Amino acid sequence: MRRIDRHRRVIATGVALALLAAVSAAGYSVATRRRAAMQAAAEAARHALREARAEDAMTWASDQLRLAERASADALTRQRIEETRLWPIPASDEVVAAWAAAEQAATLARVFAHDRRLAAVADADQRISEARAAVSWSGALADNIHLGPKRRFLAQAKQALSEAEVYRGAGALVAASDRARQAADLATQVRELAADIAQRYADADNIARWQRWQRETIEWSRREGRAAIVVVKDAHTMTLYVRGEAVKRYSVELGFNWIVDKLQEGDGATPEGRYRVVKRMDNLSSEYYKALLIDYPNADDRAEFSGFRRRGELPPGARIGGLIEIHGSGGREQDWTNGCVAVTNAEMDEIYPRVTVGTPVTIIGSDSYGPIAEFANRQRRDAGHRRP
Amino acid sequence: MRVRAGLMMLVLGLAVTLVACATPPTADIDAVKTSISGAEAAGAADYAADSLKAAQDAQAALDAELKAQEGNWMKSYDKAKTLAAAAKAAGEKATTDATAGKEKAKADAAQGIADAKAALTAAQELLAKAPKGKGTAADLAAMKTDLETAATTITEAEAALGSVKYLDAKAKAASAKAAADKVTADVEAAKAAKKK
Repeated sequence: MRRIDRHRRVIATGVALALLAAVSAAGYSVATRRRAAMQAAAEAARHALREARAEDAMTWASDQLRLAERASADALTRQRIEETRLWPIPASDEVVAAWAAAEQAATLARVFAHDRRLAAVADADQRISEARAAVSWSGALADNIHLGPKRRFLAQAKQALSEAEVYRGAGALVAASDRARQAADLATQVRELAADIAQRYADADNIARWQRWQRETIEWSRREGRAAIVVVKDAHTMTLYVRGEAVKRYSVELGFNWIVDKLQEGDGATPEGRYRVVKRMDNLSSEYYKALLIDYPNADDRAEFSGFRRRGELPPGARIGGLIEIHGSGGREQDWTNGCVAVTNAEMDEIYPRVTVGTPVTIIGSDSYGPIAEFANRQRRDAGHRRP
Repeated sequence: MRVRAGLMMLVLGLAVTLVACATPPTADIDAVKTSISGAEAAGAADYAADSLKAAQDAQAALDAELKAQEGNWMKSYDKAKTLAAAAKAAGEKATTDATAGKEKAKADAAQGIADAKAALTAAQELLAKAPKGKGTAADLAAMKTDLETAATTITEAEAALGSVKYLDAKAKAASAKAAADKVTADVEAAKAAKKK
């Protein structure tokens, strides 16, 4: 009987131990699986966070990144609580869910950062491209319309554009956009300055006066049966009339600041008015091949100069200037003189014999509402649209 | 027998009490905070962003460990101490990296300004010797304006350098140098064209 009892005890103990081993193995298996699940979820969230940071979410989606970091810290805390608990089988569901929330927040931060960065890149590139076009256009304008000291706006625009390109290269996209916008604004100021200068070409009274001078010069040539010259500054043409008929039209080069009317010595402007040839100079006495000296300044020019001086609109020591000629040495394809009208030497050879002392030389800004007038008016309209 | 059992209970109770009453490594935690604050003050956010982020991550791991231990009946701060040491080291590395990055940015900006000044001087000297006369007056005036603007930009770059805005200083210096180099190239081209 005793032997049977002992036998039963041994069997019962064995069964109990086997059960315990089975339960332990099952528990170990569950714990291992849960720990692995937590680790996998943690790794996924950390990977998402790394990707968000690589996308520079700190700059482009800082709020979303902070949320993701907070969620990640919360998940880590939950995991450590489970890992340090006395009970060996962790409750992993909440931890995995916390890591999943962190991963989701990090993914959102990455997507936001990616989209915003791309938008900022596109914005910076677009603004730089616009600024490049504006600066280039204004540069071409400033080459044709002398801005004097106000040319510094163009220089500043170029510098701002250059800075924008440096910022773009360094990945400072917001600064790049800002500087490009400044460059474009400065270029616009250059255009507006040029438009102010060009505005006189859109003035109906000016155009009518210039057309009258041209008409009267041609009439004089017809009536007197003699040669006369009309220079149209905006078209860069000089027409030789004989007995009222246009014999030949030449392309001419003018003063570097031809667009304005000459007022004083050194302003680089070509004068506008009705002049006459006062001296013919052959290639021995002229610095620029042959030359026809005109009577600038005439009475109108002197009266205008005096008016400016009286009003204090001239710098001290300003002089009215002179020595305005039609001369050779041209053909340089740019306005390079200090106010004279230049043609090629071959053309001068054609003109010279047909002109005598006393030949009228009428210089006008324009004979029609031309492209300069159109530019000035368009700029004025655009400026009106920009004003609030 | 009873005495022995009582003693065992007492030893066990003491051990449990000692473990349960373990305190967080406050000095280590403070050292981590100081280390990371130092990195931020050294400009790590701008000049060593990755190192700072690594230090902040290490601090987050430490915080998680501390919170986990707070809720435990049987507290152990051994791992927290290890994490604190790692976070402190990461903070110190961020400080070192920030200082080095800042110095490099400063040196780059200063070099950029020196280069721009040299380019400006060269352009000014060349422009002063450029042939003057009919046909060049407008170009010379335009180049002079460009150089005056470049000089102003260099002054702005120096101000930015003084205000620790190194990227601004570098950008301004680079644009001033480009403007001065352009004038030099234009004058050289004009001289070469004249020789032909």
